Parts: sequence; C-alpha cells; structure tokens
Amino acid sequence: MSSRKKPSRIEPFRHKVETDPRFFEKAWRKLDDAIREIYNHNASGLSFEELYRTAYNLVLHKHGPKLYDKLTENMEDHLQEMRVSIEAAQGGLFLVELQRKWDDHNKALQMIRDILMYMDRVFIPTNKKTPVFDLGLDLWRDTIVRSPKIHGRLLDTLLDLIHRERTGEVINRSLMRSTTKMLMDLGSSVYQDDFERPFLEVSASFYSGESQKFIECCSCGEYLKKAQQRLDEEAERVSQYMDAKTDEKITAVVVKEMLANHMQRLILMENSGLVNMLVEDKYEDLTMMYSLFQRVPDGHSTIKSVMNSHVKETGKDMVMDPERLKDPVDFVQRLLNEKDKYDSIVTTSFSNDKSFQNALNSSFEHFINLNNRCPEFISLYVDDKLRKGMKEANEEDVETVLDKVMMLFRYLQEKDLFEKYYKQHLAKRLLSGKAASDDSERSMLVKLKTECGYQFTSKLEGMFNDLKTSHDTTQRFYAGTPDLGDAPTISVQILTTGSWPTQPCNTCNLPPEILGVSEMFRGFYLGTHNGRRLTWQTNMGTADIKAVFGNGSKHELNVSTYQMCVLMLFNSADCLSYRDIEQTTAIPSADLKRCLQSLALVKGKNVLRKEPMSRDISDDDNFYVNDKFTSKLFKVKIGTVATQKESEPEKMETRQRVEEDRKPQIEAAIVRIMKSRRVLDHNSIVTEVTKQLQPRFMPNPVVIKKRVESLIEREFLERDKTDRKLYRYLA
Amino acid sequence: MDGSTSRVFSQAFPAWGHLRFMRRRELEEMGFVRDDRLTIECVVNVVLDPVVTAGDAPELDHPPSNILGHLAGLLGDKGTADVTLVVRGEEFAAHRAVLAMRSPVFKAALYGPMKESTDANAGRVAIDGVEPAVFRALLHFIYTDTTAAMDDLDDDDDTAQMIMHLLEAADRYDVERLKLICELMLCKSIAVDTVAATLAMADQHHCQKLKEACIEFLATSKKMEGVMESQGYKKMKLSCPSFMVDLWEIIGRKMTSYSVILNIYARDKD
Repeated sequence: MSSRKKPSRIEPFRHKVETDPRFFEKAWRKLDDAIREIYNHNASGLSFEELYRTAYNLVLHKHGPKLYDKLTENMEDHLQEMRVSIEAAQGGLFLVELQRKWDDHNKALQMIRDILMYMDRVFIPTNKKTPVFDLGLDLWRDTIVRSPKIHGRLLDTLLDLIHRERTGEVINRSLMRSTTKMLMDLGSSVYQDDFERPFLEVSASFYSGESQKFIECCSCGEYLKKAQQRLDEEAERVSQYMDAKTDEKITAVVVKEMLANHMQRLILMENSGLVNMLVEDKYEDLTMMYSLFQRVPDGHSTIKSVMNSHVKETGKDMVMDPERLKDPVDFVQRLLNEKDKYDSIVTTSFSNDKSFQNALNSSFEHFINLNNRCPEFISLYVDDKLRKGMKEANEEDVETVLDKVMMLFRYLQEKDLFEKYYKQHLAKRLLSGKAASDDSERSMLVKLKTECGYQFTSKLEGMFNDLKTSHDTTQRFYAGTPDLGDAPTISVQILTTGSWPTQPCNTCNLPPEILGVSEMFRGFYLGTHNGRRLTWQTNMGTADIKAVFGNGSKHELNVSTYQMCVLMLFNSADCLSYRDIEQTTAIPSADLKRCLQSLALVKGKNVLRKEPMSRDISDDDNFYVNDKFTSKLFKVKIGTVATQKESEPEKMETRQRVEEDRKPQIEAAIVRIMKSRRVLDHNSIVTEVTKQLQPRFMPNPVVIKKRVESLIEREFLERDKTDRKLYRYLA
Repeated sequence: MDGSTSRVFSQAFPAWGHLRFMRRRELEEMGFVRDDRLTIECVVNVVLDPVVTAGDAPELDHPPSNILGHLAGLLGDKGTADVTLVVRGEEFAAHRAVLAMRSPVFKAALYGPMKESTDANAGRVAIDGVEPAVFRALLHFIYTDTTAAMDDLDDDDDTAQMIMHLLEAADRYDVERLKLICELMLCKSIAVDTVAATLAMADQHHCQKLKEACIEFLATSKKMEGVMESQGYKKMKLSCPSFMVDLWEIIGRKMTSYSVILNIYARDKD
C-alpha cells in the first residue's frame, strides 16, 4: 500500500513538432552517407539505432514521400555506378562481375530495408508504394538487367554457354545457376521474358537442326537412343541451373522437334522402323519407341495402327497360303507361335498396355476369320494334342497348350462350326480309344464350358457319360449271361443318338459268330431298358483277329468292322471276287473299295492279294489271302485309307449342316427379340440378332431377312400397314 | 405352430414366412382364438451397430504452462544477459534473443551487420529519444507480456502520460500488441481536454482505432466549445493545419445538423 514515489517523473507527452527548416536535409544527409558506406562494405561502423531513429523521425514528421523519392534517386545513382563497372567487364568476367555486384546490391538492400523499416511499415501501405526491398529489386532490374548494353549481352552470354555445353564443352554451372537465380529473384516474368522464352526458341531451332542431321544418317533405333539421351541431358541441365518449371517446357520442345515432327518417318522407316522391330523381336528398341512416343500426341495411336496393319497383313498371308493349309496341325501351331510372339512383345516392350493388347486381339480376330477352315483346323490341332502318344507327356504342358488354343478359339466368329468339328473329332478319339488322358479331355471341356456356356458342352459331356455307362453295361452283360461258349468277346459302346455326330447307318452283314453274341447283347439290353432302339453302327467298330497265314506266320490283326467282315469270308473260301464280297457283306461300294484297298494295296499291311495287281478296284478283281504276308510285329494294325482332313464334298456337307442349324437359332433369336419389343424396324432387328448370336457365329443379314420373311409367312410376325420397314409381333 | 424357432432378418433375408396358410377352421378348433381374438407373441431382438463412446480418461493432471514465469524470470538477470541498453544514463541488462524475438527492430539492430551486433563497445547499445521509465515498462512488457509495471504510478495523470509514451515506444520498436493495448486504454479515457492531443498522437502514430474513437467522441459530444478551448487543440492548429482540414471533413460527414458546423466555423474565425 505504500505509494512509492518514482525517482524520476515522467515527462508530459508532447506532440512532436519539428521547427528546423533544414530538418529534412540534415536527416537525409545522414542517411545518404550511411547508404554510401553500406555500398562500400563499411556497414560495421554504422549505428543501426541512430539511422533507424533518423528515418523514424522523418516519417513521423510527415516527410515520408520525400524520403521515398530521395531513396529511389539514391539507389539509382549507386546502381548506375555498378552498371558502368559491369559493362566494362571483358569476356568471361562479365557474368562474374554481374554476380559480384548483384551480391553487393542484395546485401546493401537488406540493410537499407532494415533501416527504413518504419517507413515500410507505416507509410508504404497507406500510399500504395512498392516496399523498399522490392523497390531495390525493380531498380536493379531496370537499371542493370534491362539496360540496353547489358540486356542483350547477358542473354547472349547465357545462351552461348548453353550451346557450348550442348556441343560437349564443360561450362561453369554454378555461375549459370546464380545468374538464373538472380533472374528468378527479380520475378518470374523477368525470368520468363528475359531468359526462358528466348532459351526455348533457340533450343527449338537447335534441335530442329540436330534432328534433321540425325534422321538422315541414323537407323530408327539409333535415332531414338539419341533422342532419349538429349532428353535426359536437358532434364539434368534444368535441374542443375534453371528453374524447375522450365523442365516440362524444354522437354516439350525436344519432344516436338526430335520426335513429333519426324514421327511418321521414324515409325515407317525401312529396315529399322516399327515393322522391322516387330519382325525381329527387337525388344529394346520397341521399349524405347513406346516410352518416347508416349509423350507425343497421337504417338501411341500411330504405333498401334502400323502394328495392326502389319499383323493383319502377315496374318492374312499366313492364313491364305495354300502350302500351309496342307498341314492343319502345323498351321495352328504357327498361329499359336505368332500369338506368343506378339504377347511377349506387348508384355516386355509395351508394359502390358491394355489398349495395345486389344488392338492385337482385333487384328488376330480379323485375319483368323479370313479363312473359313480355321475352326476345323483348330479342332484338328486339339485332336492331335489329345491323342495317345504325343510328345508332351507332361500334364501341365498340355494345360498350357490348351489355354493358348482357347485364346485362338475366342477369335473365331464361327464357333458353332468349331463345335461341329470338335464333336466329330472327339467321337473318333473316344471310339477308337485314342484319347490319351481323360483328365486333359475333361479339362478342355471345362474350358469350353467356361467360354461358351453349358449348352455348348452338354452333348460332349454326354459322349463321355455314354462310354462310362457302356463299360458298366458290358460288364453286367457278361456277369449276367452265363453261357456264351466260344463266342468272341465283344465290347459294346452304346451311343445316345443326340449326343454323337450323326452318321448315316449303312448296311452290313455281320459274320455269324459275331451276329450271335451281338443279338444276345441286344436282347439283354432291351430287357433292362424299356422303349429304346439299338442300331449297330458297323462303320465305326474295330476287331482283333487272330490270323494264321500259309507261311506259318501268326499275327493278331487289328482291323475295322468292315475289314473284319471281309476277312472272315476267307475262312470259308480261298478266292473271292469283288462282286462276291459286295454281295455277301452288303457293304456300300465306296466304303468297300476303301476297305479292300487298305487290306490289299498298302505296303506292309497287305494281308490280302489282289489280282490283277492294279491300283484301282474293279468289279471283276479277285482276292486271295496273302500267304506270304510277313511283319516284324506280332500285332499288326490295319487302318482304313482315310484322311483326317475332310474331303471337299464332306467339307461342303458339314458347312451346309451348320448353315441349316443356324436357321432355327436365328429364328429363335428374332422371336425372342420381337416378343419383348413388340414393334421394331428392320435394321434394329438385324443389330439385335447379331448382338445375341455373336458368341456363336456372325449371322448373315441376308439370311436374317429371309428368316424374318419366313416368320411372317408362318404368322409369327406381320408387317406394319403404314411403314414397310416396321415389324410387329403377333401373339 | 412354431413356438420356439428363431429367425434372423437381415439384408439377405428380409422376410420369412410359410408357404401355406392355416385353415381358419383348424385355428378355431385348436382353441387359439379366444373372444374372437388371436394373439401372436413375438420376441424381437434388434441388433444395432456398435456405438463407440469416448470413455473418460483417468484423471491426468497436466501441469499448467509455466513458460511465461520462466521468461519473466529472465528480466534483469545479469548472469545470462548479453547486451546492455543504455537509456539516458540508466542501464538495462537484456538478452539479444528475447528482444529480437519480440521486436523486428531490435532484431535488425542486434543481429544485423552494423555496430550494435558486434561486441565492440562491450555489448552496450545506446538508446536515444526514450525515457528510462518508459523503457523499463517496454522491457517489462517484452519479457512478461503484461503492463503491470504501470501500476506503480500513483498519479492518474502520470498514468495517462505513461500510456502515451509507451504507445510511442511500442510504435517505434514495432511491439504490436503493446501498442494495441495502449490504444485501448486511451480509448477508454478520452476526455474533453485531452481529446485533441490524443487525436493528434493517434494520427501521427497511425492508431486507427484510437483515431476513430476520438472522432466519434467529437462528433457526438456537445462540448465542442470545450474542446476548442483546450490547449491541445490550439497547438494542433499550429502544427498540422492540413490535419485539421481532414478532421473537419470527417466530422462534417458525421454531423447531422448543418447549423452546428456553421456555428463552429463562425467561432473558429475568432
């Protein structure tokens, strides 16, 4: 509570008034001298407090504007002195001197700003003047950098140094860095206008020249390498002594001059362009091309289209070459190899780019469907792989091959044609016991089912089931029928008619030994299964016959059913004429002729002898058992002379059947569509039908039109009375 | 009838039921219907999403911040001081870093390339144009962020003077918060005989709030005559006439009656 009297009382506050008329002059002189000392590197002797107070008092007494103007004038004078000294510098010292003076100015400017802090804070915002530091920078810019003698010289020096570095010389990078930094500190517009823009222009013409020079003498791969080099170089240059924002601008310039302007020429270059790279699997060059042209507008699309046309062309040649068509398995293998080749190119060089993969797929689809035998050939290829005795004994290898084949399968537009052939080939495999691995067969079915749906494979699965059931049935037959005596052992395969490819059943008189046991089987089967009908398919069976020849050699012959019938006749006769055989066996003549050819005219398998020894079989030819028959093997297989590949008429027939099958499918699709849409115009019907049936085949618009008309006749649809193009669904 | 089966209703199974309805006859025969009523009892368990609530953390006593106390302890600590400020003969020990932290002007002085930052002159810096008492109060604020030093003054008049000096010092050394605090204090104590001087100072030292408060005072007060009688007003007329013109313009806009201006103008001519 003690009220302590302060030792010194406070002076009353007085509003400051300055009456000295020379107040400003005196104060300014102090500051002027101080600034001079500062520029002469003598700042350490000055008192900040005093100078700050001086400036503070000036502003307090409303001398702000005068002070500001005096300051501007003063700095300009100092800068003029500096300018003279910079201009006088010779050659390489020009940049050095510029740098030195810039450092000096910067340091001085900071001190000046500190001294005049009060003016900066109080006077400048209210009067919208440039702050002291910025003022100093602007003055430097206008007095030095943009002075007539220095401006051009500075730019020329910088550009000259860069040019020298581009041609291989080593330059002083730190000096470059500090100079460009100075320009950046003066403002990004200074940097851009006084350096960057001219730099980009000069670079453009430099690279334009470079690219012209290189493209005349370099191969595509070499040129691309050089372009990449230059790009890397420029990026490094920017990071070393330019503003980071220049990086993308100079990259754009190089890309434009070296790549975009010459794109067509590079890609299409003879003997080293894209096509050559693809053919020779030049992965490195392709990778470079891909990554470089990524930056060029339309770069990738150009590459894609050139690649596409190349693939389509080579594919077309491959597919239409008549030589190749002679060996279906080889044909398909080549297609697979081609697919492998391009897949690895896309993976290795095009970094698995989806759009490239899609482009390839459409090219493959295009040329594979140019040859309408591809479905058949692909099925034959699979057939070959799944048969017994193939080289890839490994299960996994087979799986990989089948997966690759499925890729080709996807490209087919006529999948229903493939289905037909596959069924035929599968039937042959199963019935002749040639299917190598049940697992591989089923695996293929699963793949087809995944791709095309249940309907595609249901019948095929039925075939497998039939065989299994048949095996069981045969076993039960033998278990249940006690007395069979000497009857030959039969193995019966019961085929459900719908599942297996339909074959016309021909007549054939079986030898009595066979007939007996087969009829017993028929009785057994029909006893257990009500309402079914069995028909023997004599054109498909096989038989093992023990034969003893006149020369003593004993062999077991594996023959077809027809051949068996023929051979058994010779048990009761030595010589038989063609006519005899034909009559007794009732085998159709074309088949019979083929059968006899294989028995008598094939070297190494001629168990019969024909007289006369001509190549053709005529009605009067006589046949004898060949008592001189020899073979190294005990078991001799006598196949029928038949080609795997279809003959022309057979081919026509299959195609016709496929076309016939398509008609109801098209009609079903039309009805489905019209039922839900009620009213639709012709073009829309065509589009919708195509869309629905595409997974199986490409319907022909003409055929669609015919089907529509047929449906109109059968009163499923009607034409609209007013608009001929419109169709209406009739419930 | 199911009495005990429980069913789960979820998005996958939103509804349960039976395929066939029961016959009414059966229902009645079995005796479930009483007084013409059928009662069906269901127990419904509703599973909600788990609700997470923040539990009360165990009481952790954070000790309150004491940095200001430590900083205040530095004031006048000669042991750690690295600069001596000499104000009209009186010496104040201080720390460069603390001063630089609180005032950009001190920072430039003590850490710049000029004399004050070197150890020449044994780390003594001369401060001119400030009274020691005022400087003491300034230092006090710098170290403690409060204006408690002024409570020592027992004279109201002294206090007012001190606040003005302090505002000036704060303006000079750019200690912004101190300047604003002084401004606010002055705003509260505007009086007829001081308003002119206060207004002049506010203008000179760019104190916007104080300026507006003074003008507001002048515009609404009916004591214009008293103001014009005051010494402060007369002095201002002499020293900054241009300011007077601005002032009248501003007041003119605020005044509602024209006659009052005329009145004042007439009087002014005297």
